[in-house]
Amino acid sequence: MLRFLVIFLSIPLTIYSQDSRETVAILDFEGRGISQLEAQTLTDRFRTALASAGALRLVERQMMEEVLQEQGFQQTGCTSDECAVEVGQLLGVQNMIGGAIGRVGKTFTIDMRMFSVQTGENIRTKNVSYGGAVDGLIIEIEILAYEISGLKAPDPLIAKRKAGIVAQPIVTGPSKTRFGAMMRSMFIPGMGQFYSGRKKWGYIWLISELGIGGGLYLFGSQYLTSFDAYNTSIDQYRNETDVDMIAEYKAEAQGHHSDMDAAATQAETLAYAAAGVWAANVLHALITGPKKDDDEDTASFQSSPFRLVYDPSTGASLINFSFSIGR
Amino acid sequence: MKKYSSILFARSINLIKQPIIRFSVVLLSVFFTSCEVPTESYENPLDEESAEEDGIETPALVFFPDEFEVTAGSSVSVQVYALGVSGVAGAHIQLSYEKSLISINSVNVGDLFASSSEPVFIFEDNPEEGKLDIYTSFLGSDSATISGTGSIATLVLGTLTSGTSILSYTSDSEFVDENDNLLELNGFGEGEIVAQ
Repeated sequence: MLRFLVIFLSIPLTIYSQDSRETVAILDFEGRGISQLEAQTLTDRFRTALASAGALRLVERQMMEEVLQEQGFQQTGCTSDECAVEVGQLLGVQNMIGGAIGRVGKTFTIDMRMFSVQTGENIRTKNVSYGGAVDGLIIEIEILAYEISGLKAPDPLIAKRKAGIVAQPIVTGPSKTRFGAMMRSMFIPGMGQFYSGRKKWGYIWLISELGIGGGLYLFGSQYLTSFDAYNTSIDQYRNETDVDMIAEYKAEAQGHHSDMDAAATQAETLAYAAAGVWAANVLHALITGPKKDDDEDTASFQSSPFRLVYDPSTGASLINFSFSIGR
Repeated sequence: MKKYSSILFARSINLIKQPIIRFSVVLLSVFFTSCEVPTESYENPLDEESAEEDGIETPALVFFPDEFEVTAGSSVSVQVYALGVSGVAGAHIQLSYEKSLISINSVNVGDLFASSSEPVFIFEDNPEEGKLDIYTSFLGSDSATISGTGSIATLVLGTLTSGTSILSYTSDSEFVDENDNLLELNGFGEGEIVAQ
């Protein structure tokens, strides 16, 4: 009885040790146009998804790094086929998976292949293009984990992909122009620079013009006050018959005239300065023009409920309509 | 006209209390009208400096005001002024006017002599010649003299028809001291009445 029990309990261990699944190790994906950190994160997500798919026996990352470290290998930078085969041999795995995630404009591409360590031949290759934010790649990576394993991605994941098509423009909306920037700067100094995504310059021009405008207002007010006071004094002077008062009003009028003259000179100087700053601001907006691929452009485009989007599942371009219904 | 509209504009702006509106209006006015500084002009016939600039040296006889713009048929009040005199005890003032355009409605004593004591004040109008004579002096030996600037007489003139009329003093005008000696009289101002 005891012997039977021992044999019975040893069956699963035997089965486990005789796992017929092919062993595979994953090299960190190469990031092209995305950061290495993003590439590593996506590799980790791929590794998890591959393990979940269960079709391949995966060498754990930690174990892989330990072996490579012992052998003096640095995984980062191992992008060539020869290097990958050598790593695979060191790890004692049958297959290796490597790939690259690239970005061209607003479109991401994922190229992935599983190849035999023994022969170096490709067993399976997959590639996908995706238009959208970098975090949307996670679903694509998960689907690819199934597909590279030779499995069909589960329906919930496919549905998630469809539902999760983040409305992102793969073509931009009405493009910003230098003329548009210039016209805005003509209307309000700095506005063209804000429009062009050059906030710093926008603030510089706006504050400069406001500062000069403040000075202009100050001296303009002084001028008008002095002008008013001068005319009052002149009226009093002309109508006065008392000699002493005539002299007093005359002195007052002369003082106000002097103040008015000084304020007018200052206001005139500032008016020229304001005109100069305004002209420079318009010229600057025209010369520098809008920044290319700026985030504000995307953000402003995203504010529109209608977007042209790319659906990687069908490879088709779609017009997407969405609006928030609150949280 | 432009001057008065500028004054009105400036005063209107000073009445605006709302800061933002005031700011905008001031800026716009500075931008679009620019700050024009009027030429200094001090024209009061009783201002000795101003009179000298016009070639009238004291002691002098002037009119105040010295310019009128009225509608034909209306009357104006003009004062005969002694400017920068000293030691005056009596005066004979003769002024001429355009008899076809102006009539003398009334002549009253001014405050120069009236302020000191009871003066003799006689006038004689000769409308055929367009001349008005005014005689004024202090009575008695205790009479004081007057100095400085003051009104000798106030005239009310009627305008008969439209036109420009010049009021002027003739060379027969004179000041005397308490001993009836002639005093120096260096300048004679003019008055202008424009009736439209």
